[in-house]
Amino acid sequence: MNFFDQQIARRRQSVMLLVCFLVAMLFMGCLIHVVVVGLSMLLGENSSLVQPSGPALGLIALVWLTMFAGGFFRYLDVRGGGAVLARRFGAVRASDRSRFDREQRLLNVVAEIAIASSTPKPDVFVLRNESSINAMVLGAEEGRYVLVLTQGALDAFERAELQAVIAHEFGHIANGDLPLNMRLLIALGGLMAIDEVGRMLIGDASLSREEPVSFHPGVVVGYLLRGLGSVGVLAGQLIRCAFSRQREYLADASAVQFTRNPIAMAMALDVVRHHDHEPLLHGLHAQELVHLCFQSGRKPPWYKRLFASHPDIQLRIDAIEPHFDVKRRKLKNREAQQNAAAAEQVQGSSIGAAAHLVHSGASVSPIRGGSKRSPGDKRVIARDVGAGALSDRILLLLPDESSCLAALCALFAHTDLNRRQIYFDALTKAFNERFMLKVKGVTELIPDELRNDQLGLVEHVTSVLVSKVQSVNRQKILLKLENVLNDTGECTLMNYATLQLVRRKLEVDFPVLETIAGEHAPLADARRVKSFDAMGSEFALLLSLMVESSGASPAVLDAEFERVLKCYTQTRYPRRTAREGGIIDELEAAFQTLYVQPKPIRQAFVQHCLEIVQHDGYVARAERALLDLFAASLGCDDQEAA
Amino acid sequence: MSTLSLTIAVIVIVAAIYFYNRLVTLKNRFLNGFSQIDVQLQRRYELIPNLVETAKAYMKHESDTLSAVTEARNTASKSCEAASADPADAGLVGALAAAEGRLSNAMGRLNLVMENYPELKADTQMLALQEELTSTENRVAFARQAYSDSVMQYNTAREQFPAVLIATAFSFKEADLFEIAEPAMQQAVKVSFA
Repeated sequence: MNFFDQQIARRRQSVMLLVCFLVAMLFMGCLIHVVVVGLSMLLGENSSLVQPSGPALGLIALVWLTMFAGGFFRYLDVRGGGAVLARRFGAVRASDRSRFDREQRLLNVVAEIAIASSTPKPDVFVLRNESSINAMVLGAEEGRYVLVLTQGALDAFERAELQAVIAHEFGHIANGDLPLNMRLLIALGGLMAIDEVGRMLIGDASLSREEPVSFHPGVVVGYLLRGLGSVGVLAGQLIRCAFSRQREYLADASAVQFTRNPIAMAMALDVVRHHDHEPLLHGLHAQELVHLCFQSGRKPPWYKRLFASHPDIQLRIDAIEPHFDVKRRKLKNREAQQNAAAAEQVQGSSIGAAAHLVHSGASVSPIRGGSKRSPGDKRVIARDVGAGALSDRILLLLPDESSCLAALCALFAHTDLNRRQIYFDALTKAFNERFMLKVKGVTELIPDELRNDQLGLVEHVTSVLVSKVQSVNRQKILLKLENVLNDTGECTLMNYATLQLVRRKLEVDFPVLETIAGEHAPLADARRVKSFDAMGSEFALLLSLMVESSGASPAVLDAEFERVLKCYTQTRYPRRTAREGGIIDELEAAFQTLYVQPKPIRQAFVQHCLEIVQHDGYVARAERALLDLFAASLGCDDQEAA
Repeated sequence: MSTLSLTIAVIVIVAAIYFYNRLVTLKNRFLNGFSQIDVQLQRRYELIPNLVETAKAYMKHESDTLSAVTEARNTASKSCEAASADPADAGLVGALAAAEGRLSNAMGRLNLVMENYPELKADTQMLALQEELTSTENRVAFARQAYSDSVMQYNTAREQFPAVLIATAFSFKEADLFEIAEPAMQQAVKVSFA
């Protein structure tokens, strides 16, 4: 659906809601009439629906009068121009002096979007003391609108994102949301006035009487008014909120029409999503303004969603840019490549890689630099060794969570056809046949990527799954997959390493010690804390695997193994290989043993592994996977996560 | 009977007034959109000399590039004036498009050269000018886009029933989508406004 169609659809829904609102008001009128007349009949007066008695008529008139008066007072409140309102919240006019270069940019962007939307430029105000991210338009009359932006928004958004946010606010102006919103507000003010008068009547009457329970006419009328008022206010609020949500979608669609840049809009929403721990606005008037804001803060619980003024951010992103996750990744990759290329052009090819790293956001020295490094370096190596930009094919072929899940399972399919069939059968048993067919399809769809770009694939698949699948379900899926691998005997070292990598990327906790120890009796011993020297065999196992992953010839491996083992123990252990049977169980046990050691020891070990990996100046993909596995299994990857 | 016919007549007249006014609004909107493009191009020509002056202080050895920019700017400015005097002349618009293309080229070269002068890139005045220039280029693009959007709206409103009756009666003509027939010129326009 393009943005023009979307606008048409949203407008139609808005009209429906407005009709609903009018019907509700009409219904309120009828209800008042019926209730009052019924009451007067009960009191024995000569009254009918067509010809109410004098007192009943008076009461009905009173109710209507209250409603109009309430609405009128609300109107007086909102009639003043937006500038008055903005100043009341402490906003100041945006300045175009160079000292406020961000505000100069803001003014420029406003001028641009005013041209794009063919609307007059509103006055621009900034809440300089407001660190939360938000924007709003104020004012009820054409030509007196004011656009208010918080300092937080000015600081957080890039130029294109700022454009999108401003365009969203212009969307509200262009679609005439403000007068509509004000009219709804006035109608609601009338309904609230009924409630308020009822409350006053009850309060007055009960004060003036001695008996606790009273049926004084004033109290009865008071309760009546309160009942009518609350029903009206509730219905009015519901409709107004639903209306407001539609208008938000409409403003988003209009913003895309003005900027023709849906990605920037989605990025801006994403920025907001990542700041949702902050309050909507720190100021006092947040509740009053919520319908006018760019965003309404965190996702409300389900029972409050009917009263939410804004749709959930994820829904808004999906509406304007369904493949946002995929496209953002592509964009970032392209940017990184361009920056790397530019840096290389400027500074010469020899330090190009370093510039690339610096750009990647990791504040570390180049790989070939000194020997002192934090474990955070791993990420840098990963960037360097990893496939770099993901191929567009993967991004297009695996857009949603179900295909990503299938791709995840396809990662473990063996190249040998018989073993692959066994694996697929196990998948059918564990999940279902349709899923197995999907996995099969994926396996045939991207054979090259599965073989040569596993890391890239894992990266993409896990990022999609993390954002779309709940943590509990991710854990279940992983457990099932692990069982399938164990049952089919596919749990080779590489598969195991991949699985651990996936586990960490999916942000699923390492399995609890008891669950493993319960199944395998020998592992129960592993929980005992051993002295540093007594863990020689565990270190030997891990080190030999680490050394082996570099893929050098056996003689080189032996020498290297001896060199690194000397750092840990005097005892000479034989070098182990990944091809031995039962090595996975032993590895698991070794992890359990080391995991309960003090953290500095584990960190030192992981760092040592890092140095081993970099020793020969080349980081193979297997080495990187294994290093990630070690760090994850030993709980030393938190720096990287941060 | 007469009340019924009277009611119908009133409804028809009100509807006719509504559709007529709507068409007039849309027409004025797209005409305004056209003039905006022109205004923003002029704004851009005014900014470029400032940029060149600021750059001169830092890049003494690049006078060729700078004078090329100034020259291209002057030609483009002149052809813009000529074209805005008579927008219907396709030849003048084509000349403007070509001049704009040359100016874009020269600016591109200047930007490339500027990469070698980190102090220049960090200069606050330069940063402000760059921001203004970016903004102006955006405005040109947005003005063109708003023009096409409003033309589309106007044309759609004009062709829909029953507005089409009003449109034919009061000769609201179909608006053009800023396209030039000759392929070579079309290409040049793309360069200038994109």
